[in-house]
Amino acid sequence: MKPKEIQELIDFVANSGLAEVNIETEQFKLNIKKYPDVVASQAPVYSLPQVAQQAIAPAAAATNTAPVAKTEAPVVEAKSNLITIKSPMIGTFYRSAGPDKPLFVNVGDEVSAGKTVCIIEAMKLFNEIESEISGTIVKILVDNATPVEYDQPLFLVEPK
Amino acid sequence: MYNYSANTQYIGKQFLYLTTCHSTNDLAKSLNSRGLCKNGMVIFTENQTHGRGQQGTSWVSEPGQNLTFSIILRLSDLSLDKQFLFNKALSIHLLGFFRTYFSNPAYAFHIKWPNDVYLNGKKIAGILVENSLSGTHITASVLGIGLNVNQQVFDFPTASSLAIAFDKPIDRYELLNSLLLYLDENLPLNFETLSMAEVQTIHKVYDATLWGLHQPRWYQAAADPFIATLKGVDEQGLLILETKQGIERFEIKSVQFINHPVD
Repeated sequence: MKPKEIQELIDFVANSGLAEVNIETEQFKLNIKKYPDVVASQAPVYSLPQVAQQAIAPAAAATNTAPVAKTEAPVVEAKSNLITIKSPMIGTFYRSAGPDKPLFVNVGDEVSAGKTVCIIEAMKLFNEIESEISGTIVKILVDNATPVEYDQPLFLVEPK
Repeated sequence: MYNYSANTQYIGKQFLYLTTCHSTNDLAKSLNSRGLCKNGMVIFTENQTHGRGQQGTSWVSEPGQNLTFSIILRLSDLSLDKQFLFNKALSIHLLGFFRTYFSNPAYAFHIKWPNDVYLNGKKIAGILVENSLSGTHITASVLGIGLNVNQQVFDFPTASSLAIAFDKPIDRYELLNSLLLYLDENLPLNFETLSMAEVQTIHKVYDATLWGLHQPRWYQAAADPFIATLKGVDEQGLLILETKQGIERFEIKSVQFINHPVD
């Protein structure tokens, strides 16, 4: 592991709710421990965003399905340079990692190549679909938790 | 604390031991996307606070009693259409481990479709596979594995633990070392170069180890419960049932096993 990677790992641990991390490889042992007062605050740190997310998630889902579909339709017709993100497989389309998790992307979001835009699940195998292009999400063509076919268009993206 | 000591080729060469972790799969995916892991990295926690099962369900495990960990696999050249084969191989090697480690014919280990492990008809292990894709290639697979080892009480009647079945506590760390070593030795590294015979063996062995195979059992699909006989799982991962109407194929959410004796 390079020093930069170790620094990144320490940053990661510092920003997570974890109290202690031990890493062991052939080359080294690394032990990162936070002070007890930080540990004491762990429970509230975890529970607050969890509650907030659950309260926000249904509202966000409700607002971005109905109105967006209506307003975006003319935009789609006007622009011909849009790129389609298609499903690479048969499965079920999910817009978040779980019902209480934030949506991966919304209409209007900027995405970069490699950014996860959705999950397609088949037979309990969850596949994170990444955008292969950078641009702005213009339209989401499939409802959450519905079946999709191979090559079915999922998103329209206006490339940068 | 656990000291990793299995002499493996790649699995667990990087080992992250966490006293507490929200979800080892989430952390594994995060480390993978930042390029902070090598093929075979293991993330292990004594206490998983927000473990996940299938979409929307949770994996609840008593702290310090079980094994909850994730393995990050970066298999060379794994195309998306091989994912069901990969899942079958993973399932049969997990099962193979239990049958080898606890080699007592009185204890019947089976695969519950698609990838749970049952011991004497109760669930003792589950896998949550999460893949990162680039186009139609899987760049990384995160295998979240939960094993019920020493937990004594469960909320669901279909769940159990090794300690309950064997009526004695099990050494968790020795079990983990042996499991990682077994997977390291047996999991194919490249699914694209398997011979037709090897692929057929994976399909055959998977079917042969299915819980409920060839037995008339109750199932529930869209309408009323029905009795059917499990014939196998096809190459697309669909459950093949022989019903009164003939052979039918089912997706994971379209059919349920019902635990009720057939007269």
